[in-house]
Formats: sequence, C-alpha cells, structure tokens
Amino acid sequence: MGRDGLGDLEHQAMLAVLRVGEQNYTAPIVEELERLTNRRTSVASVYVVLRRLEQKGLVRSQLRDPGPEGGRDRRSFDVTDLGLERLRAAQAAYQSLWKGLDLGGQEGR
Amino acid sequence: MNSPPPFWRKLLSHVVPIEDRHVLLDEMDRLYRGRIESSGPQEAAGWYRGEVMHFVRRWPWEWTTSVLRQMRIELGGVGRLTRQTARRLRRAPGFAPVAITTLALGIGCTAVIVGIVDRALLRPLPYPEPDQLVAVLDGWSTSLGSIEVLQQEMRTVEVLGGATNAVGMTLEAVAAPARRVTVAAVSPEYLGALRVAPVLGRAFMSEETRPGQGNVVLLGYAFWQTHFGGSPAALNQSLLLDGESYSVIGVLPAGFDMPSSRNDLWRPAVMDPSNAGLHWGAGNHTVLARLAPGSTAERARQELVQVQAQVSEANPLWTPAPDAWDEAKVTTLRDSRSNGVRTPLLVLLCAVGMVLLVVCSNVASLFVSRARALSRENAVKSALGAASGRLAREQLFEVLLITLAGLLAGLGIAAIGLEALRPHLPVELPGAQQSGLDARVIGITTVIALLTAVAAGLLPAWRGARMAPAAFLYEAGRGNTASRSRRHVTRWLVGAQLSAAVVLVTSAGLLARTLFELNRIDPGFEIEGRATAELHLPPGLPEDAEARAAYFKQLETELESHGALTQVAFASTIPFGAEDEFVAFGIDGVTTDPNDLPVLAHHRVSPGYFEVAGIPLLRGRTFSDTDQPNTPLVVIVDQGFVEEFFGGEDPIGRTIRYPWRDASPMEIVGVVGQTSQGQLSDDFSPTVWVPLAQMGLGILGNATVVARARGDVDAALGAITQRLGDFDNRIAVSDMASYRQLVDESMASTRLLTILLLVFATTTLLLGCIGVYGVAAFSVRERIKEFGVRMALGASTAGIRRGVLRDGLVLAVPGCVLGLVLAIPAARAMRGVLYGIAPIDPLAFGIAPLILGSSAILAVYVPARRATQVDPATVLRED
Repeated sequence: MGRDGLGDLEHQAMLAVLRVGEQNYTAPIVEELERLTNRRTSVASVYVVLRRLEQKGLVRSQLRDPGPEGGRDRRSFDVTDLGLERLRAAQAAYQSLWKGLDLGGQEGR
Repeated sequence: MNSPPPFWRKLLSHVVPIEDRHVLLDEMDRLYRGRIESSGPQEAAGWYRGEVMHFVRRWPWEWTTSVLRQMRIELGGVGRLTRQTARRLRRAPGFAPVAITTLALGIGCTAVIVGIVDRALLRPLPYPEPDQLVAVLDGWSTSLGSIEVLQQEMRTVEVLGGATNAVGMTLEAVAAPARRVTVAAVSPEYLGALRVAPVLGRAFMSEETRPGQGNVVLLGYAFWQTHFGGSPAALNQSLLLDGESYSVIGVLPAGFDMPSSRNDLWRPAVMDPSNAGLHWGAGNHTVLARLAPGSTAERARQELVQVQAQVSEANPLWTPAPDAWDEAKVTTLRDSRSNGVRTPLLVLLCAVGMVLLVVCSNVASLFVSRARALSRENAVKSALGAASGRLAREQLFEVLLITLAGLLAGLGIAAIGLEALRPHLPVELPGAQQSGLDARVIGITTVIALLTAVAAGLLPAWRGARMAPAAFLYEAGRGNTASRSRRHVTRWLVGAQLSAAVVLVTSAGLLARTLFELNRIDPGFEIEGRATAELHLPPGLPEDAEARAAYFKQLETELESHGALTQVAFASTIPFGAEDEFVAFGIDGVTTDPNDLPVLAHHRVSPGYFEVAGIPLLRGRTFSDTDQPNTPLVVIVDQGFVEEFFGGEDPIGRTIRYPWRDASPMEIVGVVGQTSQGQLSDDFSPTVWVPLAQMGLGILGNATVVARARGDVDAALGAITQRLGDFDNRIAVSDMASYRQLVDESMASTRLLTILLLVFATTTLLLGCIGVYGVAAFSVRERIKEFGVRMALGASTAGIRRGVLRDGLVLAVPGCVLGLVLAIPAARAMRGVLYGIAPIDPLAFGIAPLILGSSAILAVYVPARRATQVDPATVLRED
C-alpha cells in the first residue's frame, strides 16, 4: 500500500466508525468490525489503527462525556473530511477494478 | 463476576498507552461484559487474556511513541522540557552538580577501562575470520626447519607460517646518524594466514624465502609515515640494514602489530635447509596458522602431537625428547595474545564495576532524596489537579537529562584519561596503542550509563510517582522523620558502598604492598646515577680481538673525557638491559652429563664494569686490562653460583667451560654479589661474567655502555649521545636510559595497575564517605527538634554527639565486615599480580577497615557536631 493508500484494517475501521454512528467508541467499533467481517479482531490492533489514522488526519478523536450511561469520559472517533475523501477514492478504485469481473461468488469477494 | 480477571486487568493497565489508560480499560470492561452475556464467563476470560497479550506484544513500541507523543503534545517539544527541567534543577543547587559529577566519575573510569579491555580481550582481531586463527605451540618458539615439516604434514590447518619477534637492525642513512630499527622476519605464509594485504605494493613471494633472494622489506605504516612521509615513492627504494641493501616492496596497513607492535620493518624469513645450524638451530620462530574449514584448535593440537615424530626425524642436529611437544598447545590467536594481561585486566574490570556500583547507589540515594523533595511539591501540584503521568514524566526527563550530562562529562574524562594513560600502557597489551574512544567504546559506555540511570534514577522516580499525594502530604505535614522504608533503603545503599570501598581499598593495598616489596629488593647493583645505552657497532670494524679492544679503549677514553661522566664501562648485555644471553656451562668437577648442563645468565664485560655498576667484589679480583686473548681465560661468578655449584666453598682457581667440544677451561678468578636479571620479582639466577676482551661481543654484536654520572643522569645521557656522534656516527644508539628507568620499567605494569586501583579505591572511598555524611546529615536535620527537646530536658551535648556518632558507625561496621569478607576471594583472584606477600595480607586487610572507619567517623563527626549546636529555644519556638 502506498503512502496515500489505505491498509485493509484502516479501510475497514473507518467504515466501521461511520456505521456505528453515535456509539463511535472503541468497543462498539470492534464489535461492529467482528460482526460484519465475521473475523476476530483484537482491540489492540483496532485502537492502534485508529490512533494511526488520527495521526494521518483521517480520523479525529476526542474525550467525551458518555451521557446518560454515566461513568468516565470515553474516547470517540469521527472520520474527517480528508478521511471521507480517501474512502471515496478507495471505493472508486475498487469499483473500477471489479468492473467486468465475475468470480462466481455470491458477494464477489 | 462482571469484572475481568484482576491480574490481567492490572497487566493491561501497565501496557496500554499512558494517555488512554482509563479509556481503554473501560472499553475493555464493556467488551468483556458483552462477551459474558454472549458466550459465558469462561470464554470471556479467555478472550480477555488474549486481548491483553495483544497489547503486551505491541507495548514496547507503542509505549515509547506514546510518551514521546505526549511530551510533544503537552509540553511543546523537548527544548521546552529541557528548559523547564534545567530551571527546576537550578532551584535545587547542589543536587545536579553532585549527581552529574558522581556519574561522570563512574562513567569516565568505566569508559577508560572498557576502552582498554575491549581492545585487548573483547574485540575480534582485525583480520578476516579471526576465529580461525590459532597460535600453534603457543608459548613456545621453534625452528624454521620444524615449521617446514609442519607446513608439509599438518592437514588441520590451511596456512601455517612462522615469525621471529622484533629483532634490532641498524639502519644507515646517507646524511644522518645510523639508527636502530626493529625488524621481524616472517614467512610469506604468516602474512597469508592473517590475510593481511599491503596498503601499497605487494606481499612477499615464496621465492623470496630462498637464500640470496630475501633482501626485500615491507614497511610498517608508522615507519612509512615518519621515514618516507607516506609517499608512494618509497616503493623500490633501498634501505641499508646491518650493511646490506634491502628493497622496499610494500607498506603494511596502519596498526598491523603481528608478531609485535614494536616492529618497524618486516622481511622474509629465509629458508635454507642446507644451513642446518640456522635452519634447525635457531628456534626463535613463533608459529601461527589459519585452521582449515571445519577444523578446530583441539584437532590441530592432536595432529601436532602426532607430527612431532616426523619433526624429530627430520632434525639433523639433535633428536628432541619424545615428549618435547606434549605440552604443545594450539590456542586461538586472541587468547594467545591476551594471555599475560588477562588477570590484571579482569582485576581492573571488576574494580571499575565496583566503582560503578558505588556511583550507582550514590546517585540512587541522591535521586531518592530528590524524589522526596519533589514529592512535596508534586503532592501540592497533584492535589491542584496536575496529571500524575505528567509529573512522572518530568521526573523521568530530569533523570535522563542528568544522565546525559554525566555521560558527556564522563566521556570527556575518559578521553583525557585514555590519552594520559596510553603512553604508560605495557607493550604486551594487545591493541594498547590504538585504544581510544571510538564508536564501539562510546556505544558500550552509553549502554552502561543508561543502565546506571535506570538502576539509580528511574526506580526512585517511579516510586515517587506512584505514591498517592495524600501520603506525601501526610508525611510532609508530620514534618519529623522520614518513613522507615525509605531510610532503610538509603542505609542499605550506603552500607553497600562501604563494602565496595573496603574491597577496593584492600586490593589497592595489596598492590601497593607488592610494589613496596619489589622496591625493597636490592637488585645487587647501584641504580642511582647510572646511565646506560645500547650501541650497535657498524659493520666492517676490524674483526681481530686486539683491534676491537683498542676500539673500545678509544671509545672509553673519548666518553670519560666528558665532564658529565666519571667512569665508563662496556658489556655485551647487562641486567635489565634490552637483551639477555643465557649459555650452558660445564663446571669441571661438578657437572658430569654433557647433555644436562646448567644454563646460566652470561655477560661479557670490560674491566671497569663491576666498579661502574656498583656490584661488590666478594672474593678474588675483578677483570683487568691484562686479561687479553693471549693470556689464560678467566671468569668471574656470582655468589649464587658459588652456593649452587660449590656449596658455598671458595671457588677461586676452579674452572668452567663452554659446552662445545674443544672449549678451553676458564679459571674462576673472582666472586661478585648476586644481581637480579630483568624482573625484580624473579629469583636471582646464577650468573657468569667473562671479559669482553677475551670473548668478544658474541652473536648479538651489541655493546651496552654503562656510565657513572657526575651529578645529573640526564646530562650524562646527553654526553653519551654527543660523544658517540663525534666518535663515529655510524654507531646506532638505542635504549638510552638511566638505570633507575630500566628498573622502574620492569615494574611498570604493576605500578600502573596499582595507580589505577588506587584511583578507583579513592573514588569509592570518597563517594562512600559522601554517602555516610549524607545519611548522617539528613538524619540530624530531621531529628533537630528531637535534639532540641532532649537538650531542653537536660541531655548533655556529649551524649547527643555520641548518639549521632553511634548511629553513623552502625552503618559503617556491617559494611566494613561484608567488604572484608568479599575482599578475600578478590585477593585470591589477584594472586598472579602479587609479589612477596600472601593474598590475605594482614597489613592490607587490617588497614582497609581502619581507613574506612576513620573516614566514616570523620564523615559523621560534622553532622554530630551540628546536632549539639542546636539552640533548644530556637527549635522549640519554631513549632
């Protein structure tokens, strides 16, 4: 993966952040990833990937009051505009790569 | 039930990035609870453990990057942090300078010794595949004939060659006085085995070992620089050595020091099997080989033992006894080179390790007190809401900054120390002249310094950071004495320092005693006010004895006419001189077996020698000008000879003879006192003196002049140089020295070791005393109110002083005892470098605790006095 490209887990983690909506904390993100990819994903690697994305400016994090649930501050993650742009570029790249291919699988994996 | 396994949660709290510790622990708790609901507690616990291990694996890298990130984010760069730390340190004067100086001393001493030891023992030899290089017949030397057989027969080695060690030759220059150079004769395979390639020109070719074709030399790099200015034009120039012309074919790389660092030039060893005497008779070649691939030193040794029969068979001169090589050793070249210096170097390494230990514990004490002082400040800051992580990081940075400063200062000390030490390092120390602060030594030292910092600084800092603010505030509020555990730690550290100091002081004491014993030995001749120089006479002087004697007489007159010299004599060799000669003698009426003759020290001397050298005549007469080649042969023996071979009876009139077949008897005409031959620590060996006029200079062909100075010895040495130049500037002079210097040089290694150990011992003693003082002063300061109260209640000042002194000594006594116990194995290990005393020397072992004890009392006395100067009224008013 080049300098501007996204790693597999980076790509998936950003999509998971977008999918979980308000519950954009580490635990829900991990659960979402495991549920949809059907794969064990370690919290450590997700956390490290999210912090790395933050350093690249693709994700932004802040400590937030968890609201009615109570307890200590939780770190929430949002995808930045730059992150959205990268995701769109990646999607476009995949789509054009898949165009005209049929591997016979149900979901085209 | 709903919280994760406590151990694993605790572990997790240590391995997650510090700034998100609570966030991640909470998130993990949530996920864990989710797991319990979905798959049960057992499954969940397993999952949790796995997750923690994921963090553990990422920990080291993430931890450092997160700390650095935090530093950057929170403090806006290392520069700002440095400024802040420096400002904080300035507010505590004393702490930083003391800590940095202590560290610098320890690190400096360590770097010096590491620099030397690394070159001599650790660093691989600078040749390709150095582990394959072995010294064959290590510790022995042998003839070129034997080497030829080994070359043909041995299969366990790839290449095998021999070399003679540094031999002096006279280099004549066109317009300058002749000078002495040292030349090694090496077989081409010797350089081949080392795989050393000349930096200029070519190496020897095998035909250059044939008689008449070997007049070529390779220049040593330093010689090339000084003699030819490093110019490539040196190639093919010719050098006049001992009257023969040699052509320069190349230059060896800088620092090449095989077989010895003393060599200026290398020439091929000439193989001439037709000259049995030279080929088999001169057994002065050391053997070096490169093992064949897959072979080992042990296999080579076994083969060597097998091959010895073939060597004996080939030897036309004599048949060495079958067990001649049973002691044969094949040692790796590195071990062989460092053989004689390993014990002293290990002693130094251990000593410096102890210095470092003391430094470490001293700095640790400083940091503990520092952490304590800071903790009050931090407790307030912390209570006001500062993050505890940040405070810990500040302290950590302080430790790093001080270590860095200590490291830099220490390397500075080491650079100066090594520079000062280098000229005094013994020649036999491998790599001594190249030792310096290179990247490798700096690297090793830096690692040691960082470990010291971790041991000394991080622990207290970490402990300080972990304590809850309330505990500090409580302690600070109590305002009387330090917590018990902390005082215990400091006391243990000081006790350990004193033990180390005792070990070092004892070791230094043992060496000082050795040096003293060596100095007390009477070498049997006058040391003071005597100048000596070795003269190498030009080729082409008249060979016949009378003309030669006239030449010396003339030279003697010439030298004695100088005002700085009172009396001059000549000798072939002198005790403690650059060369020595040992000869087998038959003693008529005593020795019977011609194959088992005693080998004795042998000097050829001119008539005035005994008077000039100050060797007393005990019986009979000394030589005189009437002992000439045409008069009966005479000889003088020493008292040791008389005792060993004549049972102390009067030997005058008895005869001895050289071992060759037609040797004439020589009559003993006098007995002189015994003289030490070259090492004060060696036993005196029986010595035979023969007249120079009757026996000539022998195969060495050198004469040593010994002169009595009229006053200053340096002036006498200058006079010798000047008069020799006037007399004949083809005479090369080497080894000019006063007799005092020659004798001192023989003790140089012991003296150097003693001085270094004394430096280390003094350093530890000083640091140990600072430690004792620190503890005592600290405890007095803390108990000042108690003293005030006690004095108000009528306690006497003497009683209080006694109490403080006793407290301090309670610290010193166990430390001293432990130190003495540890000093016993240390002394035993030093046996090889001691002389004249038993390792458990009562004086050295007695004096160490005495020195330590009195230093400790002195260190405690000042705070004890302060304790008694308390004004009860002032102290009590403060409350």
